[in-house]
Amino acid sequence: MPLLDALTLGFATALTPANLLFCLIGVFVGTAVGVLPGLGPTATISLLLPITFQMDATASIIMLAGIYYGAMYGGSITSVLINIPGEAASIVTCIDGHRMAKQGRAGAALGMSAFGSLIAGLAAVVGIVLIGPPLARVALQFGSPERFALVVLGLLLVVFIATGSRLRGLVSALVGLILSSVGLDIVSGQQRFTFDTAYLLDGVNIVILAMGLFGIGEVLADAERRATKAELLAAPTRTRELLPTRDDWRRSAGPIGRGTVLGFVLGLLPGGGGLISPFASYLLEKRLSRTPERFGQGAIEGVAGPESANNAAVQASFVPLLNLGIPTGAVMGVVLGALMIHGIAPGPQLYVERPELFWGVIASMVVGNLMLIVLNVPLIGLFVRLLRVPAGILSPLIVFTCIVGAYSINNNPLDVVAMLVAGVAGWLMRKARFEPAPLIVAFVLGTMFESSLHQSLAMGYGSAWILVERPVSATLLGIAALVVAASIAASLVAARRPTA
Amino acid sequence: MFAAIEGRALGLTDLGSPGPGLFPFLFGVLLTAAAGLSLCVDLVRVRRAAGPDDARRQTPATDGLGRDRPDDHAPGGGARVLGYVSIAAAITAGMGWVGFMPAAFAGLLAMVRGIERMPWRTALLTAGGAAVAADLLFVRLLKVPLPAIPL
Repeated sequence: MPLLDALTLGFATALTPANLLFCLIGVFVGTAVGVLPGLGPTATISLLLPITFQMDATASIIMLAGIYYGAMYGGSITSVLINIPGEAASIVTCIDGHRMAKQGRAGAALGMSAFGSLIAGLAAVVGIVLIGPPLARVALQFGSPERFALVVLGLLLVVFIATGSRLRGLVSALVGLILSSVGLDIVSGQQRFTFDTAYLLDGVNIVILAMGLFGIGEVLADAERRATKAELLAAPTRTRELLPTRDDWRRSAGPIGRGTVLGFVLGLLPGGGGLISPFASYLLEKRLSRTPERFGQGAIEGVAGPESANNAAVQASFVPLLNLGIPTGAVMGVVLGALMIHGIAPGPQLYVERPELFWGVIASMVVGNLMLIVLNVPLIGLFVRLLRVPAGILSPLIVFTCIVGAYSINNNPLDVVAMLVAGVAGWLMRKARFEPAPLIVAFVLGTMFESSLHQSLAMGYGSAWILVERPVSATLLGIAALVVAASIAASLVAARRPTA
Repeated sequence: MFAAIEGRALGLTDLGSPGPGLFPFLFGVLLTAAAGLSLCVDLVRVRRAAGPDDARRQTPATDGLGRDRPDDHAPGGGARVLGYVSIAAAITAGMGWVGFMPAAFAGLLAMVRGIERMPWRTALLTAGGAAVAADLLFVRLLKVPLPAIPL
């Protein structure tokens, strides 16, 4: 089918009143779910799956897709306002987004998050239409050795996330790596650091860890340092201050473009590529910036890049599923289930046999992203007004929301206890001037590090040569070696330079 | 150090491939080294800052590393931290005994009135409103099985 005809069919499908309604329901529910910590898109889509049994297949996938990218935007709202990431992918937005809120620039952070997500979403749709299917086939060549090399590169760069001492950033990152090894060893099944408790067999939950370190840790640190009735955050009063300025746009244009490309490519990769896209974007922007010291202090690039990467990755993750029938993550696995319930086997034949579904879902992403902007931008003023709530009310509500959010993940009170332990650890880290961000990023990468290494060794029949025999993994490992060499050289030059 | 010791006990290799303890061991060793180095760097800086030529740097407004120390010790701050953690733990434990709504209401009231010293009316409205809103949103709408009041 010619591309123009295919797009016409897609928009004709997406713009029917019923599909528009389900798209609206999807993005609305998704935003709400994203705002609530704990209840992520995987759980929500699973909960809503039975509802889709009676629906048309196209409408159900349009709604589920809307929930997914709506949740990604919703997660950034709480990250910016109260330092609680609604989703694992929103963790990195806490670093600069919440700092901007503390400076009275919550509106600009939320606005840039929304517009960045829109631009990335629309660009990702264009990417899907033009190069998505062939790129998805190439992405499948990206196996465990390549993923291992990518994770190694990410781990080497993780200390650069720290705004203060790199040594302290390294300590934080190593704690995150040790935490990622808690649970059953994936090869031998041996228990590691479980203290003979069944609770820790599955390891530490990323959302619980993030809610504790960022949300509870921040409340405790704030409770310790402020006078009882002080305001928690500065809130702008004029409407003009609620939206990004021209300077914000100038600073964010590059990060949005790079974040979109990075997120799109990583979103195509199986095995959690989309999850690391905001972290990768943040690291990239900090490395490219002429003023990296602004990162962590409220740099809008630290919001624009990761949020764009996040949204582009979400949209791109539909390509391997719809084109090749391969889910790239847990959410896509549930969407695959929804398709199969309707008797649809996704794969190369999908856009021959069911073109209205394939192109309808793609076109609905354009419509859904526009709906997200229409729904959320007018509400930015309302969200920001939340910051005027006295800290004496806001702090207890944050703690309470975290408790309910942590409990709702597995309906297990031990999750709340784990979150409180992480919260106290986060508070102590702040007191000792260790930053939680490198810990969280290393934790995410650490879980992928071991699994991809073991899979690579299995692919190479026990030989580690497979890591350097394949061109992409060899290139990535080469870049990692260059990063190490450049850091050592920079340290030596700095040590020899006479102090003023 | 605990991670390194435990990792070694788990086994560093397994039939020629990485054993379950290899990475915890490596991460533990690296963490011990990095933490030790960080401690040494801080001690050296504090000692330098305390030198007679630069005594002004160790004023109460700096942290001994030459950086401004934020005012992170408001009067009663430590007690408020302890209060928040204790009440959050009590809400979690109380949910199983008295149900979600009463535990949430009592816990929020204790935080808003007891820790934050907000007026009684504000505290009651906040606690009641948040407990009811959470019940409506999570239990009624999203079907999260939060513990019900035992009858």
